[in-house]
Amino acid sequence: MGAPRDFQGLLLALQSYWAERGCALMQGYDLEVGAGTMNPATFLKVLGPEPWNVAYVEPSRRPADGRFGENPNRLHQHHQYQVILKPSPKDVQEQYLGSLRAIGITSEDHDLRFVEDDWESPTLGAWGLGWEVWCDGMEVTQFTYFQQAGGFECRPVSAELTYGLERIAMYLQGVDDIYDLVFCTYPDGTRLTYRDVFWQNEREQSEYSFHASDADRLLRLFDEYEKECRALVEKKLPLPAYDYCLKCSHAFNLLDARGAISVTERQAYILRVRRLAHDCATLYLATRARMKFPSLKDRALAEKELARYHDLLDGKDGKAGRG
Amino acid sequence: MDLVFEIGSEELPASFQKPALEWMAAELDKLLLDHRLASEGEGQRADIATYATPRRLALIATGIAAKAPDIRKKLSGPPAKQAQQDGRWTKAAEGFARKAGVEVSALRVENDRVVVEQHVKGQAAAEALPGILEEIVRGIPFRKSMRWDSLEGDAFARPVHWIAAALDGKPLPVKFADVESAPRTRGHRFAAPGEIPLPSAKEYVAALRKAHVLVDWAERSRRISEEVARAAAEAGGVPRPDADLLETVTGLVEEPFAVAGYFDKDFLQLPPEVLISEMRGHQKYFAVQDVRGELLPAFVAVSNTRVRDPAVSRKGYERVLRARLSDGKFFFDEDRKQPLRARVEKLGRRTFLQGLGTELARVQRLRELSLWLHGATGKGDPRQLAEAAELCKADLTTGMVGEFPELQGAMGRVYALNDGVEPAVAEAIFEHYLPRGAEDRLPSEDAGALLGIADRLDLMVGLFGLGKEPSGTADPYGLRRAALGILRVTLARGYRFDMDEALRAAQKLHGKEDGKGRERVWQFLLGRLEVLLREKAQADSVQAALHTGSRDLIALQKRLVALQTVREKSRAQFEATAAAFKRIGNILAQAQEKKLAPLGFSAPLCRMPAEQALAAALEESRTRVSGALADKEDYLAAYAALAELRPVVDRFFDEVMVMDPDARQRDNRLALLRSLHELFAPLADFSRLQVEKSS
Repeated sequence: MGAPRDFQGLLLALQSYWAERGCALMQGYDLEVGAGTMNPATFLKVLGPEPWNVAYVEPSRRPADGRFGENPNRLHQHHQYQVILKPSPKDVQEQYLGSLRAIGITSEDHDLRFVEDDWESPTLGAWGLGWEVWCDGMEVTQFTYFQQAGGFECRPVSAELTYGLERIAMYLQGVDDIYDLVFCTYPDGTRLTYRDVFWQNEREQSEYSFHASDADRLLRLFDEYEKECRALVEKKLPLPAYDYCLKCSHAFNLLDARGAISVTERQAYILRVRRLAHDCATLYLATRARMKFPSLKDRALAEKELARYHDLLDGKDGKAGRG
Repeated sequence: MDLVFEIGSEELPASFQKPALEWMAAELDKLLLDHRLASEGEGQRADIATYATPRRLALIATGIAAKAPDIRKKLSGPPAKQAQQDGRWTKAAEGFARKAGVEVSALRVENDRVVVEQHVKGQAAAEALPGILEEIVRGIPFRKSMRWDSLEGDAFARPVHWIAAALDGKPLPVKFADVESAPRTRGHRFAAPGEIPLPSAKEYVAALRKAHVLVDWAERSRRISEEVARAAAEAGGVPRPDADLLETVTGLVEEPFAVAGYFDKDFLQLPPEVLISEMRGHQKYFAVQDVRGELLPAFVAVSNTRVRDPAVSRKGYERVLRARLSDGKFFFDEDRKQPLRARVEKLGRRTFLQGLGTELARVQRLRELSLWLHGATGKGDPRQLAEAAELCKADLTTGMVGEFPELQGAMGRVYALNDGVEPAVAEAIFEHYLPRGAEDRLPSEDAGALLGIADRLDLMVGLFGLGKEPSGTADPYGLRRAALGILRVTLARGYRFDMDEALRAAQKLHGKEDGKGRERVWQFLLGRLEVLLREKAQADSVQAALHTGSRDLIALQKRLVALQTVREKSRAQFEATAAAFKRIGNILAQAQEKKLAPLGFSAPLCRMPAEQALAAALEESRTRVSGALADKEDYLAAYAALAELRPVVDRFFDEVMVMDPDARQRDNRLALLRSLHELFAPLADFSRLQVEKSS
């Protein structure tokens, strides 16, 4: 298969490749996230014994990476292609290499390498082992076997593939400036570029995160979101609660970009978000367990797995399975 | 017999491969020995070779015994008293026989105990090895291990895909995770992806070479060197030697192909340190230089595949590097817009370490402490020291060091020179970080050396004060390295100062005064010093010389050198003297235990000639010895005096009983021995020496 000619061709090629392999195609989350991992379709779904295969594009916001549309390699918002395979299949590396082939990157023409890179998210209480995948020296994908999320051991282990779409597209299209990427081509042959689509957003969002944001208000918002998250956990609503955990995380990222948080405070804020993430994860697991893990087709296995989460069902302190 | 054993996995981290192999080989050696399978002949060991690539860890052992020899083992049971009653075996004896798997008639009594000779049949290698190999796969101590899929229990550095094991070509069953062994291996991931029959021990390396895998580490490393040199020559230069990078790259490929690439000449305006970090750090490229060692605008990347058209991957390698160098150029230009001096103030907004204040407070302490060291040692120029101290951490606020933390100090030097700072000061900014590791060079001038000692003392005193000293193998703040840095620089440059005073000064700057804390730091330093000096001297000599009360590192080193010299020159005589002193030490220690507190020695109280002779000899050598020790540090002269005293000491012990029933006599003799002991105490703590007893 030839290389996709434009940015959306790249997305389409990945979508159809993973759809053929039984992944549910979902969308990026409708809240601000820093990475596809934070989407509940990853963070919460990797918890517990229920199988889950999903793929989606995640617009990922990193306020501190904003460069006012002036840097050819860095963006406030880039796009990740996120794939979760749970449990991790035996041939996951081969499946992954197949996906590269589907977008025109083959081992006959390129130096493809799996180079050690362990992944950790302090705010999510998550970590895993794996690689960054290199194509001719360039990192194209973060490949991780999830070991823990929200402070819980992942059983089974999920494989997470996170493709950096802009980077791959730049490589395939042979451009040195993100904004020169061809997004798509109109029927009359005119090209819609990445600049046309996103440049203004980059400018304004950078202006916002570095200069225009109101740090005091953001601090208040952080506190309010945190309260809302806690209240929703009390009401046993893990998914709405997790939304507010994401809101906190984004408010923190904005404050961080604004330089409004000192080094010492930084750690404390990260810890506050991590606590929320852990509480949401605990409640989510308890809720799935109470429903007896309905998407686990093997009911005998579901019964067996339930024993593991016994403590959560008893409404104890939620320490079960913590590593 | 020959064993071939291979574990095939997804790509292992480069740094895991060699340590895993070393452990596996040692473990196999040990387990074969335990199973009496270690050799085909008497007193030999199986020959174990190890192989690793990112996708496999392998052992080949030749000369394994086909079957362990049968042996007779003597088991000992209950005491005869319990085992026999009225000439008949008791229940206890019967139980013992049952447990040993023999009839009671086989029991005997030997030295009042029941014993039995057991015949232990030797196991065949083919029977024992599966268990041994499973133990090895399960036991490899990786720095980090993971689970995968739905598997419980077994963990490995990365998912395992195959296990191949055969003894003289016959497959051995080994199970791990969800893998069952089969006598098959695989070649290169891309160039020979299919399964191939597991080759014999003799053919293993060659067969894998044919499958595009250079399985032997040394061979692969050599091939990489050759490839890199060839590619660098293509680019008109030679590779910049980099043993660490070579080692890493060897762990990243199964079959190496080098490709030369180029970057824009304009980037050569960047400091070489930056260029090299950009190339080697993330990209694992080798830098290329000309014969004079000047960097060329070229690099060599090492690929794991022979691609159809190297120009395609070259373009890729170049693009990534170009983006990185542009970033580097951006940082370099931005950083130079603000002089280092102006950055010092910014340090006030950076926390050094939680609980130890800001980086600004830190450099203020470093300034004072390095000036204190200047005062104590009389070395260095105080003006240069003060300036270097103020500027030494300013580069932490630069974009470049933010991106490449390993360039701290190196960038400080570059930017300082750019600001027109005096070269000696700029050099000190760089050198105060030296040595950065065991192999690194030491500072060449006093300013960097003293500032470096101050920096490390400040770190140690600060962290010990917070109770964050290293425990076990955990040393998150690198305090062992810091201690070693202090010791190596101080010894190499011959700096004389009292470490306790230095620690007190460092504590004072942290607003503390804590004798116990200083003692803990000192004991920690002493521990590292022992390790350091053990490379040069016997362990017990090191112990004895270091525990002589001084906190001046140079004095301790001199004492050790003297002790080693005397010990080697006149071994027998020295051993006898040392043994006598050990004896004196023991007597004094016992006296102290019994709470005997002798007062001062009184010559008129002495009754026996041997006692009088010792007192006189001691008096005679006292001035000479204390002069030699205190002023001249002539430890050899003191040892000579000590040797002269020995006949008198021997005579004393032959003729005089120290623990006389008369308490006055006893105490007086103890006092005599004590002053003898104290006089020579600065030489060595003789109680720590391992010497033969004097005859």
